[in-house]
Amino acid sequence: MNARTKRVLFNELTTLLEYLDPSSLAVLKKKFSAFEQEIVYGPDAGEADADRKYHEDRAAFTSALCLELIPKIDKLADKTIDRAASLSSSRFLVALLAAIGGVATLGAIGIGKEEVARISGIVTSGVAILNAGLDSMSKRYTATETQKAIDLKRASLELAQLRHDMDLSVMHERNVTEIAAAIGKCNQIALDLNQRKDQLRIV
Amino acid sequence: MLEGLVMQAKLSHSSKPNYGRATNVRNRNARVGHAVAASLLALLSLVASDAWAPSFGRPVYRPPEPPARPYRPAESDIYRAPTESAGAEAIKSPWAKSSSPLLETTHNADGSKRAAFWKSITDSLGSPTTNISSAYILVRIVDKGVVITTNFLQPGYKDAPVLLLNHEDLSNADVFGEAVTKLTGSTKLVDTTSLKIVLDKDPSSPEFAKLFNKDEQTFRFSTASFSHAELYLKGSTSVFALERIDRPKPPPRWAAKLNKCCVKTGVPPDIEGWAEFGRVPFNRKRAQIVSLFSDSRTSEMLAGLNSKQNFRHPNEIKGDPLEAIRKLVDEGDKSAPIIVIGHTEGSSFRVEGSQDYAVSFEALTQIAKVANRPVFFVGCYTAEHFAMADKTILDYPPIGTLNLIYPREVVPKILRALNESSSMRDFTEKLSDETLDIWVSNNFLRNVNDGAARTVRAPIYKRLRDGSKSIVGFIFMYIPCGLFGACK
Repeated sequence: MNARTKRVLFNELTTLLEYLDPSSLAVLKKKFSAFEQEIVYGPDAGEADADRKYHEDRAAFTSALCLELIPKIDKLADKTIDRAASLSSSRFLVALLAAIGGVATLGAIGIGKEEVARISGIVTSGVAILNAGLDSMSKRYTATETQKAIDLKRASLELAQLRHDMDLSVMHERNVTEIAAAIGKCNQIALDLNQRKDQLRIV
Repeated sequence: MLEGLVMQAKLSHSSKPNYGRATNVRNRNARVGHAVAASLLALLSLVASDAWAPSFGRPVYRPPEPPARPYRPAESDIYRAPTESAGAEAIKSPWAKSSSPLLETTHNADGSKRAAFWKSITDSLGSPTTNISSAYILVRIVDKGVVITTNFLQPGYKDAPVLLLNHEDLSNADVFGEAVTKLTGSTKLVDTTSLKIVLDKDPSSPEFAKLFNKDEQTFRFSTASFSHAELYLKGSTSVFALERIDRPKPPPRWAAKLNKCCVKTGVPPDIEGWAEFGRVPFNRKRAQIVSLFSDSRTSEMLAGLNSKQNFRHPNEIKGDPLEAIRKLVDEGDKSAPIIVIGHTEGSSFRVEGSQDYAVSFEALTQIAKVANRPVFFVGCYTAEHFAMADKTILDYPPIGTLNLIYPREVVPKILRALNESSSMRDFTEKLSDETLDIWVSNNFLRNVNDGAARTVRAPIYKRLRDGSKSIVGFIFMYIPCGLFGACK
């Protein structure tokens, strides 16, 4: 049996890029046409006697994938932060709209001024409770969103670092196992993001 | 909070005296209070959900369509070969070219034995044509030689030559090629021009062995010009439809078609065994899948399967993989197959990723054997286990190198087969399509494990970009004899 090096996969990186920007993946697919089948149908089992060229070709493609992915993940992280930051003002807006809407509805269905005043008191109380609830939820929500943003930022930074290391390994003709390991780590980061794609709003 | 608001509304009502006329107003106020509370609750639900957050609007994922190639249905003519006497007469008759101007429109003298033979051929195997795409070349082997003719009419002729070759000339590519050229003139053969071979002998006869190499599954004469062939054998009521399979290195293999599309087997095919295989039930409702493909998009395709009864991604396997699979097999329905899919290396399914492990075919089959359950393997790449010659009870024969099967390509086919099959043969057929051929080995349904089970081995062939086909994967089935009723 021939000794085999560990399979070198980039399937999760291509999947992630297809989620984030299918047109970018289409461009890369054309540029790296040798990998077209693997991009479309998923990873094959690797080669029995994977040589240096095999690793370098895959490293080049992985590097290109990372280059496309890093700014897109960053952008996603920024959007997540913006969403968390805008939550506070959104909360007040919602409360205000609720109060105005409530009173306006009561007026519209023909309730007298005194009754409106009394009911608006109830509404005001309700709004106060709502506000408190929103405040508590928004803190939790903001914390969750912030954590998502942190995870995304961390992923983009790690990808950038790994890409840098991988490129250096190829440039300095380091051992292929190092190259394979770097590609594998990049793919693992993408796998983690793919498996949380709904939570992170990647799709 | 809703209850609090309602209570507050009730308290505000109860703090006032009960004036008769005001009752309706209070009731209305109470209803309004409820409405306001419900509105606030709805608002809270909206705030708590992600529904108001901006979405990124990615397109819905759809699995890619595999590339298609034109479908050519297999013919299923009933054997109506020319009579023995016609062939013998054709051979007895000397080949005499005539310079008579009357014969310019015919290759065979009217009333001659060759003319009679040609007529009997075109009457029984297909009428004359001037279209090379619907033409055939007939090769008929008899004791005294080989007769070659065609139903193709060269321009200006109303019949075709009937040529006689010595047996040894058949394996001479130049002589055979020259004979074909005589039959078709300047017209070149096309992909749909078929080769029809008539042998009035049994497949186990020495004559058949001289015609066809069963070990290599190749004809012993040059068939490079043909993609399709029909084999007419003595004693068989059916025509065997054959298809050429180009390999990276010549000579091409020939396979017999077992269905209209893409399930093939060796020559001669075991038609009875195939029919028996069709009677083995496939319990699709209780079938289980163990996917060892570590590709998240592939596992998405399997997302519809119950996570408690299937492993849709290796990450779902906790602890020792073999033990986890054993538990799944033990808890499942004994009559239902368990289908293990993944990349293979050597004699094992190999999984790389967060859990790096290998599960050997033999260990998996042993689990199925103990549980008395059918188990299917669908794998790919270098299954070197198959290169081991008959070393285990499972008896995997050498079938060559496996390569280039992709999970996203094969999993939709497995799901289709899983959802639509009612027999084991059905399942095998539905795994194949125009892009992937299943080649059921000649001696499939062989008894193993002291007659307690039967196995089926079938390499998967894929059409490559250069038009040739290569083994890319395999199917292996271990089926307890109980599902057959009994094994013979």
